Amino acid sequence: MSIATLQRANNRISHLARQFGGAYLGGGQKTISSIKKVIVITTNKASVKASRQILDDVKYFMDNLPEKAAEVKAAQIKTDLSKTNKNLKFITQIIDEIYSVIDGEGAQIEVDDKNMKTFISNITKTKEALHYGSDYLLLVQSVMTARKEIKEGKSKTYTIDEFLAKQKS
Amino acid sequence: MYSLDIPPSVDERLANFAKSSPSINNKLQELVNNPEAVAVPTGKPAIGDFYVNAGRYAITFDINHDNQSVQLLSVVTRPYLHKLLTGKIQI
Repeated sequence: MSIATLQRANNRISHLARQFGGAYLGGGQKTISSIKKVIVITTNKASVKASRQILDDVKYFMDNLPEKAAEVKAAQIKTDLSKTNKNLKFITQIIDEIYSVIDGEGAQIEVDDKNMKTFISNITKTKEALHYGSDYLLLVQSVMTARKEIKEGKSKTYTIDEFLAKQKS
Repeated sequence: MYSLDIPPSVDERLANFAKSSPSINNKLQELVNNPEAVAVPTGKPAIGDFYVNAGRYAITFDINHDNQSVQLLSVVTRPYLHKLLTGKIQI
């Protein structure tokens, strides 16, 4: 089930996010310890593996995006996507802060660590894919609602003249 | 000549957008005259079988040949719809 895969991705993202807990966030003061903590997390193999697993789960979810109305559990998907985006926001905020340290203060330090590069790349791709998926599902849900309304006879039928007259009224 | 079948969830959005983008009404006129001539397949039935660009907006819809109606399903901005139709997820 694709929704179960999204939930698994969420759990992994939450776990990853928790590891960053305590690091500087939201513009808090950067310290050597907090910078070190972020660098240690983003350069270790376990984090790279986790980011790859998250990306694979999201890819599976995207490949199996529900096409049939009956398969879409609208409220559940909305909740899970919301949770995922919140978690990803947390992680990408840290990535942004890594870059602010690297590029800020005239330091111009290049990311040469392979693990960190892969980690950042995986998380960035995950975020992009989820934004696309979120938008796609929102449109699917609104079309489902419209089709349901038509099926239940709640829609109104207009000739073009009636419709244009309605616009003017 | 086809009729327009408009569900309540689409009606309000359509009315609001039509106020700021008169080309929506022009496009709907073309649509009911000859749906096949302006309908572009989405290739993704979940968001509507067809779409048509109308100014800043795009409308997705189904065509019901049995009762000669065009069922409007969503009104969204063109870039938004085109992103969803052409978006490739590079993973």
